[in-house]
Amino acid sequence: MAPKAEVRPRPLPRPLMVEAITSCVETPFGEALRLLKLDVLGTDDSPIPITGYYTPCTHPKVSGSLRLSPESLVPPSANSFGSRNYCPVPGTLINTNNIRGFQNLDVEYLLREEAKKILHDIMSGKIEEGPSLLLRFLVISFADLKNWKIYYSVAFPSLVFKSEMTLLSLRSASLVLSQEKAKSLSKSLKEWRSSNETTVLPFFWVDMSSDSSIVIRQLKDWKDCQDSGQKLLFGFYDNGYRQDYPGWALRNYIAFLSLRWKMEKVQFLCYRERGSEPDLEKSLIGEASFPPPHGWDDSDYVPAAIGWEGEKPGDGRKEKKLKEINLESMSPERRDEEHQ
Amino acid sequence: MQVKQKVYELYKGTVERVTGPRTVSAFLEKGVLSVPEFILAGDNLVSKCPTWSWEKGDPSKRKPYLPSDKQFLVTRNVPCLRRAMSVEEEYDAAAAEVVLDDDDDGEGWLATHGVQASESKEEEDIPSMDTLDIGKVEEIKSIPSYFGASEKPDEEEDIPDMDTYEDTGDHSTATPQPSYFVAEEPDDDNILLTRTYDVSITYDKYYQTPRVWLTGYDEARMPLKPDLVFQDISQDHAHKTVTIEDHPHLLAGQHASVHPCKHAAVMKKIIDVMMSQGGTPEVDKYLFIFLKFMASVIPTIEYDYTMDFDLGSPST
Repeated sequence: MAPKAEVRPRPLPRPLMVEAITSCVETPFGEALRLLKLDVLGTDDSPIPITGYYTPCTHPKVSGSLRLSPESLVPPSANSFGSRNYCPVPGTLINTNNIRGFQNLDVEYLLREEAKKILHDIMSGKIEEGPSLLLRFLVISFADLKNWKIYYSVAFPSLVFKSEMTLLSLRSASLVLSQEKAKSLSKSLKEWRSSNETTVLPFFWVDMSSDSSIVIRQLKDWKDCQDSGQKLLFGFYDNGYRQDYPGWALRNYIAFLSLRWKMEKVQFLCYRERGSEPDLEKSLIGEASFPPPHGWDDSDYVPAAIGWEGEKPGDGRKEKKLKEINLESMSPERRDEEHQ
Repeated sequence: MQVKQKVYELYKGTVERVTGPRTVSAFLEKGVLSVPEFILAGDNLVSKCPTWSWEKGDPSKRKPYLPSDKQFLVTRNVPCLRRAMSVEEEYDAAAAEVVLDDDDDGEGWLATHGVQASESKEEEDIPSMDTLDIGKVEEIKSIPSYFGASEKPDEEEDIPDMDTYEDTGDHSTATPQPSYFVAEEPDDDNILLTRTYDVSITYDKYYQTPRVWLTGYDEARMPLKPDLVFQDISQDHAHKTVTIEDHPHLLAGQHASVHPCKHAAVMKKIIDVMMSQGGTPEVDKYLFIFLKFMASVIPTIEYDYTMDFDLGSPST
């Protein structure tokens, strides 16, 4: 492989780092939460299940995000909202009653609890049926109704391996694949993205063994097809846009491949789009290795986790990002002013 | 006439689901759309450019004359990498190339950029273009940098009570962990300038045309204040044809909208040009033409409207 300094800032192999994900909370979500608090929740601050919406990166210079919209608060059992542009992901919302309650939340504990759910879903085989469970997220909030503000923080729990994940290679998919293969992969990805059944599944695997065509398969089809020395790529919708790093979703995917499918080295595909089309120049193919973990089989095991938005573990500080939604435009006084 | 037939077919097909206020197509005559035509054109947009989707919107704002699952169209997370203000100069230069000839009633829309841009500069005291040095401009600093990396929060009044909030937890100085994530580097020009928009298209019953709405987000994906949205609107239109209003289908938030009062006239003009060049404008392509024309208002918002036809090109 010819080294490309401008694409790879640090020599390979190197510890696997990924591009962080950001949340994008629509103002209407805030209003829906305000109404939910007023009409339904009252002072109940127990966790409620919500839905976030995830998409791969669709532009070479802008990463994708996890979105919260009013639909996010529709109970998952009744929520059918989802499409290629809104891949539903399960989350938990804890809306506290006052600022003190918000400050007193044990954020590390809450994050670990969510990570434990992810671990449980990996071990029990739930991921194969519902891959988006790997992207589980957590929101803590405080709705300051008097001042028409909602304060919140979002966490994207990511399981921490004690041993390091190592990145062995990472290149643009269009450089790795022959033209013919690239064409075939592109075609299969288009089909995957245009089918209602598969477009909401952010994790998949690509069977490259056949000479002529490339087949994309769901995780749940793994059992039938494993073994033999096939050439496989483990693909996922990558929210990231950077050419030198895979996106955030890869970490839990590797945790799954390691813990559930007992792999120690995989080739992965970071799937990215341009507009509505697969973009194999921006999509990355890489290889990562990770030694087998120990002790994770224990059902009481609580994994270490990171993932509060804005947190930078590297520098030893943990400055949690606090965001706010301003609903002042909904206040009656403001509305009266505007209509005069 | 072929177009009329198409329109009729579409009308027959959708009339059972929808009863629109306009029952006769006036696409070619007036540049307007009936409700079934809007649905047809929207379906075509969604199928050709799947970054666009139909949405239901908030149930309390549902419009009875539109199908419940096709209330409006939206494309989200659309990048806007430069401020429109900073590309006005290019528009001045490019004005000569604009296809449509300007006489009276199309004014302010397509062909008159060069002239109007320079006029409005004086009228409205828009900062001189010479000072617009990308990457260092003041306007960029004024983007709220909520707890962002290096910038000091200069919008103090926006973070009032919670100023006191600190993550005081004892865990905060625990042993440094290895870095697992890379965050975006704030000194990267691109990132600093990157905003994203949700662009939506609603049907305006009164004007019988589509209407465009913009919801902006800053580089930290926090909602953009309306006055900052104006930086991404061609200065010919900011505060004139573009205003801040409530969205007809969304629950809350302030959204910039391009007022539709002249849409029909401009669309009619474009249709006439296409026909005079031997083209046959089809109503299901209305939104592609419309979005192309909207790009003159919001030139730096890179929404998807790709179509392999060239509006008004002499070769068609």
